[in-house]
Amino acid sequence: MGEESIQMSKLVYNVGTEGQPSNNLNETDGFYNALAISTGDIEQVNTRTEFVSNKHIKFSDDPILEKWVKRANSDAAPTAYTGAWQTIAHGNAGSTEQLNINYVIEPGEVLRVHFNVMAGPDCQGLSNQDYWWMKIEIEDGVGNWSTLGYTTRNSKGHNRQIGTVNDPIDGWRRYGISFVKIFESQYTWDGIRVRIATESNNVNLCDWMIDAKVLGA
Amino acid sequence: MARTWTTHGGMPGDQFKADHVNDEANAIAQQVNGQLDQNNMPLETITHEHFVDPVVENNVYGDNTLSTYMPTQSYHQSTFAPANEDVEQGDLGPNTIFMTNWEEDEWNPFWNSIDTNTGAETLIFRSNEGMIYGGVTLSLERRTAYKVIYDEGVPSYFVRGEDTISEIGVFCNDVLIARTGEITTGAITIDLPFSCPIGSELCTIEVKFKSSQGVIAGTVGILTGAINTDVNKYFALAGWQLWARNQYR
Repeated sequence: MGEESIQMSKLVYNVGTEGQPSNNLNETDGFYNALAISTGDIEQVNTRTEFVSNKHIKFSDDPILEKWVKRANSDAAPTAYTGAWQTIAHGNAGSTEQLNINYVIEPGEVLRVHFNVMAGPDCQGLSNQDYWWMKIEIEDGVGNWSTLGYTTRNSKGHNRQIGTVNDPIDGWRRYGISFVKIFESQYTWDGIRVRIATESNNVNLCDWMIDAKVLGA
Repeated sequence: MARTWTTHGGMPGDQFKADHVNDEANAIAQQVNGQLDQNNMPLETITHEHFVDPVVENNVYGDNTLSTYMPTQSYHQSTFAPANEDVEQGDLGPNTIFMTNWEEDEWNPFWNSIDTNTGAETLIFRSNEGMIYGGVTLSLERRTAYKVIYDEGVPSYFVRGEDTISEIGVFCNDVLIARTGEITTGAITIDLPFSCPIGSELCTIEVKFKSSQGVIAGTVGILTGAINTDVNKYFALAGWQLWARNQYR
């Protein structure tokens, strides 16, 4: 060690005599040592993360974004969905259901999902049965689907007890939902899909976009 | 070349300055004084392998909440996911959802806290100095009053009630950081993003609502009075997920 004044684990200096080489013991030794301790034992192994900027992180090895699954349908032709739960699957880009993703999510990592669609809920004179629901589900590779966040509830009309009071619920609007899921234990993420159900009659949907990311670090 | 030092007494409580010793110690002095950033640390030295694993915390500061603290950021979520599919024709419900009765419950015409007894209405976590980014996906419901228009004694059409609007706001440490604006009647799902700067502290994010009573304006001409239907009494929330990401500085 040519420069014995610095030890890597702790700041220790050896010399404090004016004009003399810094390699014989003197008071700065203890001075630096105390400083290092009183400033939080700053050393390489416990450098606090808030002192590290993004410029220090090498993003090319993807420490943050670990998996990205996305699909979009731009077909403007509307499709009617009616009745019990069914997967949104219309258009020119296949289904919202994607299988065989086969990515192992570790504890503490986050799945972040956004879905949006053009929805045209026409009241169709039905005001006392005007609910429709939409949810995002993920699958674990062995057929178990579970809901992300919660099941969203929407209506076609304004008043649930009389008819013909529809506007401005009627008409096309962009409908979007976003959820995150923090995993407490390891999970094999294999599938994702978006589903819709209606209380009565149909809801028209066109276009859609789904975007799911696994985030770590 | 050997290092040489100029004598300077170390006074208790004094900040350590580089020129107390000499310029050669400048880099060391900056690190001791906390400046461990760009000018002292080589760029792109931290790779995936250097990151420690995330730490998950479950319901530490509230029920139905989850947090994961990662090296560069933390994520937090709270979810209210009641059963909301078992409904009767013409009614709101079921009673598993959050529902406030305008005629019976006390509430404020301005921002109201949501009390579901689930703990999911607030998200509390330890933040590091940086930014908060997040969102709330929420299904709210407010139904309208109506008025029947008669044509020579025969009900001919309905007029939707006025001023029956709702709004959702997000508060970070009691400061309003995002709001939806006025939302008309019906059952509507909103996806409201928010962001704000944050310090190293205990951070509380809360979702609140406000809603106004439905009113039919005026009763002129052949118009009858307003009819407040049963469902018009309620402001309902059929579920939500509130999530936030703390990006460290």
